[in-house]
Amino acid sequence: MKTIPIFAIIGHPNEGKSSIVATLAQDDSVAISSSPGETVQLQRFDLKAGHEAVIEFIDTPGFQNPQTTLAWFRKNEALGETRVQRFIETHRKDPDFHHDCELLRPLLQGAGLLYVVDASRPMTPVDVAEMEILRLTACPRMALINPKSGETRFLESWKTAFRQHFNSVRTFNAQTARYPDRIELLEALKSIDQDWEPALSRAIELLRLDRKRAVDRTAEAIVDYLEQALRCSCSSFLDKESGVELERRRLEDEYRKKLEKIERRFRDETRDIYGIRRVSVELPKNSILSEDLFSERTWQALGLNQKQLAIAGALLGAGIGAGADIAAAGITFGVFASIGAALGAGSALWKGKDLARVKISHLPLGGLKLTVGPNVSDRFPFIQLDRFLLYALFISNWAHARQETSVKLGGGEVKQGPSSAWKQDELKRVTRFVRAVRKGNGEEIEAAGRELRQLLAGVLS
Amino acid sequence: MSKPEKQRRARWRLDDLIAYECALAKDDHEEWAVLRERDAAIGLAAGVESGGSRRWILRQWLRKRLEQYSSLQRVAGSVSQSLSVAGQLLAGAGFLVGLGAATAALAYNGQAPINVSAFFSVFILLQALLAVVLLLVFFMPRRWREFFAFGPLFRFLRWILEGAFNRIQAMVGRILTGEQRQEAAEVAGSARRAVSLHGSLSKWVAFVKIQAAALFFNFGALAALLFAVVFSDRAFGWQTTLQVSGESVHFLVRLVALPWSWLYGEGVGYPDLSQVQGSRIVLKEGIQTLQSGNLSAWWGFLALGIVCYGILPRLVFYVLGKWQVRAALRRFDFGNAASERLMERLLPRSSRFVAEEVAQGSGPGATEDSPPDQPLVESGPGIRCFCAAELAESFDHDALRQALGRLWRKHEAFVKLVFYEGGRMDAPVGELRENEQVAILFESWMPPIREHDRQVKSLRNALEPHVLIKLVLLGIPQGEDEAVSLRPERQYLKTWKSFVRSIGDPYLMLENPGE
Repeated sequence: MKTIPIFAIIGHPNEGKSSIVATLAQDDSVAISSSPGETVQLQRFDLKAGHEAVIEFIDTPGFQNPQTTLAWFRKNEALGETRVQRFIETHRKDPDFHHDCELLRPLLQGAGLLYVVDASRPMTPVDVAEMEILRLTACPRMALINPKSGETRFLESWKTAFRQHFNSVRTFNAQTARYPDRIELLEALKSIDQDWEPALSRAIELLRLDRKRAVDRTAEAIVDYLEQALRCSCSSFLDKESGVELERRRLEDEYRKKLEKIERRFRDETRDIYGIRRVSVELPKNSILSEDLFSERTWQALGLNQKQLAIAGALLGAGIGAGADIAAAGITFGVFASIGAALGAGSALWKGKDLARVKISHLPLGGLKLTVGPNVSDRFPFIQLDRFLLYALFISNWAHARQETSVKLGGGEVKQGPSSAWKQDELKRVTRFVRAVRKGNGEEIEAAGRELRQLLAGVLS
Repeated sequence: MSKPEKQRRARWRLDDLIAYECALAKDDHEEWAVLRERDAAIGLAAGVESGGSRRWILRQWLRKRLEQYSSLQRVAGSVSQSLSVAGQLLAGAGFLVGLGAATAALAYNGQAPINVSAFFSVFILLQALLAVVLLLVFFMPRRWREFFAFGPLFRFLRWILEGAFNRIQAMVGRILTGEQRQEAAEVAGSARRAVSLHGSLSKWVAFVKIQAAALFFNFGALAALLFAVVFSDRAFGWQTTLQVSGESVHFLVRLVALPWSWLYGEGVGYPDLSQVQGSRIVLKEGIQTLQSGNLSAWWGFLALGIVCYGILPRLVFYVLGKWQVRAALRRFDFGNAASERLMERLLPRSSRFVAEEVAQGSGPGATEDSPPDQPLVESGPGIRCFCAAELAESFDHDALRQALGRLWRKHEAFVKLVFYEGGRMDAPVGELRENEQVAILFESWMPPIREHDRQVKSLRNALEPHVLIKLVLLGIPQGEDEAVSLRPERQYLKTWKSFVRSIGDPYLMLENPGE
């Protein structure tokens, strides 16, 4: 038998019970529909930290006979604590009461109740009857306001009624709830029954640990895929020069596809890390992430601003110069590094969004070798990094109840990527990694990658 | 016959009713505004306003619709044709079964004559008994008639179908989505509505088809008998273990042959005493001793028996069935919800639906071109509006009556609010006044639940089955003064429409569907 806290999500049909369960249990297999009556049987969903179930949420059908049920409860007051059990026994064979029996069944297991209402509509006698039934069960219970629209006219009357019937009241929008909102709600659940406090505290602790693991894995994935994108190139051999132009276009196309594939694989892995497997995560139409990597809008909206770019260019250029200084055993007193930095800063400012440089080499035994990539633009690593980060942030805050797109990333000229807020120190960490990858030094890549992972984990947390 | 009387008796044929149902089914998915504009343009408003005969008005509407929309005629035609083909197939099957069964019964290998008693029992006696029972049924009052003519068969079929339906529903309910379950409930509701509305007519249509099949069964049996007699040598005889004399059998035969004995007498239409005695089979003696003339004397009796006790009664029942179909068509009640809605559409834009828009003028659906509010009617039948006592607590009763009065273009004094508790309606319903209308109120911002379903059914049980129930949906109270709104919330409108359809009550209508 499970010893973890159990919560049954109860309410009138179509108030968003399944959405709440999906979001709280972080499970996209919960059947959600905009029309009432989707859930007809009890469904249990474990909230897991790693592979360990820490809280069980039970999705229930909506009340179908609240007033009749309340009348029965009042009539059988003498039954005391056995009232729920007797109600189920009495009505279990009546198909009209199937839903009502199902939704009350978890109470026999000692489940806590989360009563869900859409407070943007007026309260009706049916709602009052439902609340009264739950009060009569004497189970620990919390009212959850799941606002479906911005209407607040009726909120006060709801709150007044909730205070009379529930131990605690919270607002929780299943469609937009982010990770902190979910944790906050779980924290609040402690207040409805003191006995659950240790178990819930442990559950929250485990969830936080699990979240940290997910963030670290995502940061690791970003670094891996960024390295792949920075190294990405395509080449081919030609016998004569006449077909160069055609081949160049083909290679550019292939290069573009390779980068797309890298992004796709990263997105799959990220969704997997956050357990979004069944529903298709579609980005909003105006999302910058829906744009092509090399589109004008992407390069305008993501990456670094002019000032940052100058710094990054200087950092990358200084790296190249520093190489020459080291080669001269330090006799140049960093002169090469300074020249390199100045050149780098200048070139970073004027270098456009070239897809990738095309290199044509004549082979000694005849023929040509065409190479497209890797992209040497100083802006490219930051744009690619922003795309990875934005997607990871989008997924890490995905509410599992949201089965259709509702998050919109803004448009316009303003830089929207996380990298646009980075200071010199952060930029240094990224450029160090970019430089290491371009140089192809394994040890340097490992060391710079570790630093970059720390930076990214901070952004994602 | 005066013109109003002529209109009242406007004749509807089966094909017309099929076309009418097809036309209504097609309109069911159209927007109310589109339908209202289209139907108001047909020009039958004068007839509706002057209280003309519904049968005649709707017949005219159907005629116009069929003229306007030729594919409707094709759809209705194909349904009618399917019915006709089904009847033909049944008749064909009946003929083949009769032919086959009689051929098998007439099998003769020269060893033992064909047993007249067996042939007579199956092809004449059994049918004669059935005919007598059916004839008795036709002399009963209509309710009893339908109960006895179809009761046992229908109850059995219903038991089988309901059992199968419940099992299938329980099984597939687990794999269907909520929306699919709702669609299935709507289909079941449509079937219930059809049975309730057209049950009597369909039963008689089925009766006619069955009689046609039975008629052709007898034709098949007669054809097999005549074919066997004309083209082969058959010997007929009778046998029994009981100590029955030839005189007794002859007496029975003469009795059976009474209907045709005036035309084909003894020795032709039925065997005489010596032929009866001479065709008795005693197995241990064989048939060699029997005279050929005696052995062939029975076929005429059997053939005329089939004509008299098989073919003629079936012909009579076929005609009676046709007559009952016409009677059922004459009785068909056009006061059902779908026809009521249609009658409302036939009125021009000055109808109460415009009044609703005016009353809800501040709402999003109000139109600037709405004509000015018309005076409220202060005469005629009132409306009894049922409202759960718990729900009524949330509203000012006078304001609610005024809003409902505006909806129906009646002075508020003609709107009577009746409150019920615990979903029980038997007591509050009481006796309705003549032509008094009935409505029930629910909140539109909540999806319908079982309790609503039971309340509607409880109201129906307390009323006559043909009393129209108008389901009125309340909108979320508007403005700071929480004014009563009769504009239902769009969020659950589809669900409420589906709810009404799934109940399958042909006399239940959603009064303010919000289009």
